[in-house]
Amino acid sequence: MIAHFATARAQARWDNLIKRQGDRGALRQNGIDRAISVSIQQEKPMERLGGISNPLDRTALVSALDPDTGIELSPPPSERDVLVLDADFVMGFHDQFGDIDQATFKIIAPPDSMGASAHTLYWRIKVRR
Amino acid sequence: MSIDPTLDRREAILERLFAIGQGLNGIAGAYRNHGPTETGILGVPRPAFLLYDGASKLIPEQADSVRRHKRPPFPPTIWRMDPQIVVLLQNRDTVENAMLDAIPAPIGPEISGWMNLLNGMVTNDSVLVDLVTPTGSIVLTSFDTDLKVGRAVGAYGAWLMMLYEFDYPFYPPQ
Repeated sequence: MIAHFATARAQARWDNLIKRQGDRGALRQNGIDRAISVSIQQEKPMERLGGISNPLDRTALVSALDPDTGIELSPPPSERDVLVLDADFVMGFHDQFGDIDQATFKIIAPPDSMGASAHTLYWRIKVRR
Repeated sequence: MSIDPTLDRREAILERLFAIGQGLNGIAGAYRNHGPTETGILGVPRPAFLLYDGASKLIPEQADSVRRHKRPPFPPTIWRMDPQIVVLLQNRDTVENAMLDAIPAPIGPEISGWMNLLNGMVTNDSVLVDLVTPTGSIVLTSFDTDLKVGRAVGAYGAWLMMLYEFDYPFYPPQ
């Protein structure tokens, strides 16, 4: 017997969690924004050794569902998108750059589809300023 | 022409290189020996001019003759220093490295532009030529970028590195 897995309900649960912990954002490509729900975490992936730059990378958890329509994101997140967030929502921006409205992030790896099947429960995206 | 043996030519050359970098048109910030900088708006303003002091070494042509010298004291010699001059560009919007803040700005032409500008400003700069003296030399040995397979290819902001070698007289205490 194959156990039933309620994909739609799991997507909605992740959507709810991300909305509760995160904020509204957008994926921008060719000047067109697609609304998303996103929660973002900061990390330092590399040591300060021997490089020119010491990247300040972040991992963004993005709901698989459109915040306005509740249906799956279409098209899905892509490396060719730019992640756009309200600057007040990003640590460090509000204090130092209060006059900036939007913080944009480069997507530095192909977005990871999180979920046990072909259905995406949520997206995990590595981004860098 | 008399040569001042008390002048620290290595430091004077580095100070001149840094002064040239500070005066470059279009550079947002110049730094000497800055540690790895953060990417993005919280890091140093870009395009950034970064000068790394590098090292100095007795030129190989003189090393053997100095060792064969009949007297123990170290004589005046020619030394070779290899500072690194870097221009660090702003990180582009996407992995395509073609747009900056939604405006077309490919990294290749910008790197070439900085290379030409630096070459025009540093190579044969009259102050540097005076500092190395007629017995020394300025040699542009290569320029390097991160735009190669196996390197970052603009992942942290593309960079250009100009590699010069300066041969200058070094005077030990007599």
